[in-house]
Amino acid sequence: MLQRTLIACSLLLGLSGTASAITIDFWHCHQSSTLADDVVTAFKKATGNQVRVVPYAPGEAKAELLLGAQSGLMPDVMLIPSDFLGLHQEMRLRRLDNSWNDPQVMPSALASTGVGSGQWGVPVIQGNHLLLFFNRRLVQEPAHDWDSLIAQQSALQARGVKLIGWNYGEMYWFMPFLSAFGGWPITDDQVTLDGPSMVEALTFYKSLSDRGIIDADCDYDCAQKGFVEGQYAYAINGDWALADTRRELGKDFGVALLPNIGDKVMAPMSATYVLAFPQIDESPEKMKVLKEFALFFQSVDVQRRIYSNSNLLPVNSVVFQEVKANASGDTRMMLEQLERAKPMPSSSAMAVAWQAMAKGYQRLMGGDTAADAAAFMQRLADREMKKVGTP
Amino acid sequence: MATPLKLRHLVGAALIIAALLPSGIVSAILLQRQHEAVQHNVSLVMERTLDSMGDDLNFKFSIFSSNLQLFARERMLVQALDSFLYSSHAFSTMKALVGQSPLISSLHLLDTDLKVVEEVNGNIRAVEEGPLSESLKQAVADGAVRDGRQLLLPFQDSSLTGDESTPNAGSGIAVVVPVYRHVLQEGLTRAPIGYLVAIVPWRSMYSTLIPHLKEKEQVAVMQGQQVLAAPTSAGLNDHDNDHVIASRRLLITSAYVDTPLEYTLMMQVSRSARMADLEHAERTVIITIAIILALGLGSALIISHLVGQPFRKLKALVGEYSGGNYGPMTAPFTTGEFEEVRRLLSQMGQTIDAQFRSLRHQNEALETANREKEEYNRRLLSFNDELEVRVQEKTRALTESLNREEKSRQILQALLHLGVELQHNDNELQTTALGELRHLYPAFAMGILLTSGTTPPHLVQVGLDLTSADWLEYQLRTAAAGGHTLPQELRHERRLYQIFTMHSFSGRLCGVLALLTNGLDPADRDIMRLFCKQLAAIIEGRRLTEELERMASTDALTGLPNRKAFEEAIEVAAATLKRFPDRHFGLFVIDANNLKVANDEYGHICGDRLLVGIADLLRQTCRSTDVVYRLGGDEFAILVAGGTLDSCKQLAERLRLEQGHHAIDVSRGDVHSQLVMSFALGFASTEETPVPQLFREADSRMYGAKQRYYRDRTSQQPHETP
Repeated sequence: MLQRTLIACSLLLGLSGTASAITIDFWHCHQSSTLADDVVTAFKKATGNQVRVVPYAPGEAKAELLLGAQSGLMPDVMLIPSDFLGLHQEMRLRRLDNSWNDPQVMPSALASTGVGSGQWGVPVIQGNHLLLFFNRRLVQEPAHDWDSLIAQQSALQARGVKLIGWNYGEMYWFMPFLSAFGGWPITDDQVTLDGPSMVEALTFYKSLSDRGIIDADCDYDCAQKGFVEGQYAYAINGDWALADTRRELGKDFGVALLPNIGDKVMAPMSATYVLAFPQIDESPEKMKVLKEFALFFQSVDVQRRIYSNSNLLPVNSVVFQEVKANASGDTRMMLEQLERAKPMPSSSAMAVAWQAMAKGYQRLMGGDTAADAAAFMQRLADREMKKVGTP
Repeated sequence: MATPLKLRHLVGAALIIAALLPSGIVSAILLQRQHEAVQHNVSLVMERTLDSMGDDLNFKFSIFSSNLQLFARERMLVQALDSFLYSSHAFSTMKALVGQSPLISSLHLLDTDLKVVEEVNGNIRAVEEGPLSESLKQAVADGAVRDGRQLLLPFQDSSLTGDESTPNAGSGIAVVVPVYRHVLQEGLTRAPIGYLVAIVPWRSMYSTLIPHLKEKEQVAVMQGQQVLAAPTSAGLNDHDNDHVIASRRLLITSAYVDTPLEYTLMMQVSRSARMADLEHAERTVIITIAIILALGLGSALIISHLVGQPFRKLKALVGEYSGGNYGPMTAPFTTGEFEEVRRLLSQMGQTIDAQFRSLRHQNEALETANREKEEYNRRLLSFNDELEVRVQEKTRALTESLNREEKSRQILQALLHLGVELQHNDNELQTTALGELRHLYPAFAMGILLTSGTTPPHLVQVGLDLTSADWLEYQLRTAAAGGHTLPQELRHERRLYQIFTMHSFSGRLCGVLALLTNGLDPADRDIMRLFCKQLAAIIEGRRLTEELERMASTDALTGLPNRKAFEEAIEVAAATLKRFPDRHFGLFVIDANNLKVANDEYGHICGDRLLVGIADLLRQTCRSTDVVYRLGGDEFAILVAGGTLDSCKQLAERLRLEQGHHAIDVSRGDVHSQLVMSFALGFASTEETPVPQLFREADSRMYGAKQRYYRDRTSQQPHETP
């Protein structure tokens, strides 16, 4: 393995030495504060090429990229969640072959980049699953289920501390609740949102807001800020926030499995983040640099660096095994939660399902019943799927 | 009778009226003019303020209307209407518009079915199903939502404004703008692909009016009689009457609106607050008038005082004389007429004063004599009272002394009576003693427990309830049985028992007396102790007597009743048989064998042991109702209760069976030997033998048996056994 890494580095250094510096545009919508800059800095140092980084808010990235694709204003490469690949036609993404993949990339990660018969992206990190964060200074033993979690509320309130916060209005956070009640948004590549599981999950989800367990108006930044400042005892957040949160809270920071709903296990979604390349006319030199960038991102050293600096799980099988073998404490908990997680489908149906759920959620909070909201989601998704076409 | 008018008052009143009336009239005219000027000024200011508020609101609404018109041409609205995958962009821009437009609370993007595609701060259900939806559907159906124009729809729905704090908080205007796919085709006939609906609550528009108001000014927006926005839900706050109201027509419109909405702005101003600007001038006028009036009043009062002073002094002098003070008025008047009157009155006063002084001296002498007489009488009464008190004290002391003597006599009599009763009669000791004591102290409940009798100690009480008696008996028995020192007092359920113990000459506890009383005076306590000592002495006497009697009728060696007891028992049995002829009794006469041998060969101690052994054997063999007697020497008797001939024979048989089976040890040194116990017996029953011959018959039969024993013995082996 060492020999292979040295050969890759030599190849990169050789390339950088012979080619003139090329600038590539790199858009990303990952919430880690360090990932993109860290890798780009290392790439620039290793190859001498330039990278212009443009970050996007995750909530607006999809529409931004779709509009960009329509108007022909797209970057050379972008880091996106694997479910965006379902819209590869609308985003006009470049179809890739196996030469873009590091041989050591895990097959399960590669599978998330395939839509239909083609590969539309290069996986670079995996996980992206939700965990239960808690503040050890406020909580002795993290709750294992929602009943015991809610039971802690009054004592915490007496100390001026709120119970829990998360990005309540974002459907990625709703997904573990849906899975706990046996629901899943995609079945056989079809959107399935109006089942009894969805109704039960929406009912439970809204009851948490109605009962004052969670502030429905608190978004991602509000919840994260409140948690690191000690205003919240618990938070539900993704593995991408582990490193940043640990930097803020230090030894007070703890990670646990998502609490059960009675005897129902909450399974979060897991996903890969992929590098995708829009179909724009590129020079052969730039195409070479882009492939370098993809291979660099997947290499053992960079994957190790990503895990070390940002606590994001690698897709490189060698590094992943290292992480797994040395896992303890929060890392072990993160891996244990990953084993319970369900992979997010990379299909256009998933992209539609997200939007339909968001619209249905708006109606639920506006006063619709859970059954009406679920039916609305399904109606909307069915209508939109006709426009998007089959995956 | 009516009080006559006083000259000085009339003069004073005339002066005050002359000084104040002209000034007052002039001041009233001045103030009236001032007030009119202020009224006019307030009206002008209110009109200007209303104009400013209306113009400002129209200006802000026009700006918002223009922005909304431009915003409706945004491309992302079309994209969001085409596919909801793009709606997040529309949301961001809509959110920016809402943030920059203070007049609107929410913004909705609707498709042609009037369903909400995207919204910011909105209420989907209210827009799609609320009262506004009906107006909107009707307007769209009527073609009122036209190209390039904005439609204003008033509504009353608190769920749209998100404010339910007051009944009119749901008032507002919905501004509806059509959205077209191609924005560059103005003027052509085209169909909208959606609508923008902006919610403008009256609450927001009302807040633009507030900065124009000053302190204690209020404004309300009305439509007819309906209050749309006001400081309170009922409209203007008009709790007091200190206000002025003005109104103005308010037209909500813009360059893009065809049908303006008309309202009324109603303003209320606190009159006193508006007059603040002119208060200074008014205050100056009022102060000037006040000074003029004060000066006039002061001058009138001074002149009135100068004129009225001689009258007042003369009145005071006459008043003094009426009160008996005839001192002269020393201060002369400045006016001659008044001075002559003063002198005349002073001379008259001196004459009357001299006469009064003479009378006062005589009265003082009489009063002194009277006081001395009263003092003598008071002392006499006091002496009598003291004497009476002393007599009463002596009488009470004598009475108490006599009572004590009587009590002592009763006690001695009771003790004597108790002694006599208990020594000469066999009365029950506790009951008798308790009766005597109760006679002395009828108010006390009490109980006595004796411990020296043959029966178990028990409490005899009088006046106690059963629960208290049980408790007391348990306490006394426990303490007496355990040999504990008894306390002087026992307390139970708020009751206090005084405890007195009785001891024999040897110091042994023989009884306890308990009195239920909260306290005893020392004399009564001494009586109780004396009573207990006497009772203890009687108990001890009785015990000694019983012991002597028992000793007199008991054989000292065997412990059996002796001949004296036997004879008494025979008399009692004979008397019983005489009264009840069926109650027969039997008599056994028994003579110990070998007593002489024992005495002669082994000594008198062995002889005594032989007698004791036979006595024990007889006692064990008899029934518990039979009594064994030692008549003397080696002779015993048994008195058999219910002793028919058969029962006597059965006893004789039991005794014969015991013969020869018991022995006493008569070993000497290493030589071990035993002496067998045997006896001769004879019996008789009253069933066959009259009582007078009973003993003789039994004795004769015993003698026969004795003869047979000795006769048989000579033919047997020696009695000693190795």
